Amino acid sequence: MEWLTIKQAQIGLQRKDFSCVELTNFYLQKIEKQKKLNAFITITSESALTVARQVDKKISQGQALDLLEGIPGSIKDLILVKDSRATAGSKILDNYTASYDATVVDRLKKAGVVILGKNNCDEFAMGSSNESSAYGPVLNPWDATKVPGGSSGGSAAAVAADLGLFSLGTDTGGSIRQPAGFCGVVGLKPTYGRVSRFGLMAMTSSLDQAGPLTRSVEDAALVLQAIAGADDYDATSARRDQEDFSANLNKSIKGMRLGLPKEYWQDGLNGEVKEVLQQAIDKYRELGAEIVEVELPHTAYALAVYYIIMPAEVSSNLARFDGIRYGRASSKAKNLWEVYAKSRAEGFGSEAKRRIMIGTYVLSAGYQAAYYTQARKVQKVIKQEYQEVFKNVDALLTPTSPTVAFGLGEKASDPLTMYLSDIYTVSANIAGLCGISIPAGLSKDNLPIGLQILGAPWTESKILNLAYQFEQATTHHNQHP
Amino acid sequence: MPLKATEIEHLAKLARLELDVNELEKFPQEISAILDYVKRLQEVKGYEFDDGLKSPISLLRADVVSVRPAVEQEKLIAAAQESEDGLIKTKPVFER
Repeated sequence: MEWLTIKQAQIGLQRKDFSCVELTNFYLQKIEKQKKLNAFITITSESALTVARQVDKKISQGQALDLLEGIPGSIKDLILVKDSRATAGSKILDNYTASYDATVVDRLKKAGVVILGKNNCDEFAMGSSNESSAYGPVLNPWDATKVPGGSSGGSAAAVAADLGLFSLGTDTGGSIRQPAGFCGVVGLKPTYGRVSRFGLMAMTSSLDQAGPLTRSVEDAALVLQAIAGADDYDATSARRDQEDFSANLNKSIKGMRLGLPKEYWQDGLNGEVKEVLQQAIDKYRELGAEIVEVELPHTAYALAVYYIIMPAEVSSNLARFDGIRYGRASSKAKNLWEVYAKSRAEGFGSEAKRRIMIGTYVLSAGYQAAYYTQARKVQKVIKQEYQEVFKNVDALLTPTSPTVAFGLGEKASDPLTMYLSDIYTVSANIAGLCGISIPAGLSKDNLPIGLQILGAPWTESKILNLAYQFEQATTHHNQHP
Repeated sequence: MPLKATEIEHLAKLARLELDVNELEKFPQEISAILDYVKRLQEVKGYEFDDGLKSPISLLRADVVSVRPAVEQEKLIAAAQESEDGLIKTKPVFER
């Protein structure tokens, strides 16, 4: 039962090579054995086994299973699973139990998945290393002295260490793709609006998207299939015709035009990472794709746009944590003001506080025009730039991160240095694109290097196709920590 | 130019955050560094947008009461620190 893909697990269940309860226990035991990774905040073994028994009953009655039925996976602790604890990686919610399922969770439950538990993450999705979690950092399964990336660090580590067949993460500035890259797994950020945000604790409402982390491209397509689609409870979810994301995986990519944005391939990119990724680009040439250099002149401003818009929305979204409605309240509060000020002071970590304050600043009177309004303008410029580029290419190839996974504690003391690790991922969120990170090789120190494929909005099928063809022509996805 | 302590205190007040001594010491410099970085956006000039910055998508549902399960409401109110008769209690808004 080790290192299965969703498809292989499905076949194993149908053929009765193992039962769903056996498969579920296999992962629960592995999670326990690997607890030093700290990839999980809550383990939901009882409800997992209840679902597993129901699946086994179905199998014993000779019924066929749906594609995701009986498939064990986990959910980032930023996403609500009814009656399970949901902390968002924060102290302020350490006593909070979700009263409803997020739509994505509801859809996965209807598809029959077995939820093993909630993954550790950076506090309120703020971070690129999972070091800001109030529940301790997550370790990279490839090297326990390195970070797994963030904010979906627990999700990426769980999938990389075979603690489940998939995890559902969220991506606002790269939080699925970057940890997927650092941990050598597949991570997909759908187009904004593709997946419902109802039941995701809001970080940046105009950028957040939930998406799958898996060990194969095909698995990512399957999970996306289950969660995608309009939701009445999320007005920002798009009403579009149903699409089969797995239908085009096998298509030849001969003649497809892939752009290399020159701004992504220059200074700041680690030499070894560049070398490995050059080989990946060569592989695409071998597969018949045409490689063209393109320009995205405003790339240099994307991170700044992100670090204005995101904190602005964070400062608004986190205002709901007031020590009254839910979550921790300070026992030292003597009046209403102190209920707010002290509960939030005690409950939030430094990164959350910093971002709330930056957001407050850029939205405050006298500064809003110069910062927030200007950021929205530059966002539009960047969006249009990508629109233009996608008229001439099918997709873009970029590094996922400028480096391999860095050491625990290495960047924790300088927020700005930490922010710069998002430099290749934020544009996709800012411009509303879809993006996927796939394993493209290992460094000399045996650390994963991710290749990112960016697609125009609504082109998940295309980037999945491109990712799949590369995967099938290489063996990187078979390498395990 | 680093933010003054008074500016940080003002922001903390707006954000309803009580900062401790360490934070009051470190935040001015950390936050200023980030604000200095994002200031570069002011270099981008010459773009005006006729439609303002409004998103083209607007979806309103029918103006009818939509009902979620009652048990959900009970659980939500139970999540509050203090409640009474289905209402959430807070400390007084107005000081006597």
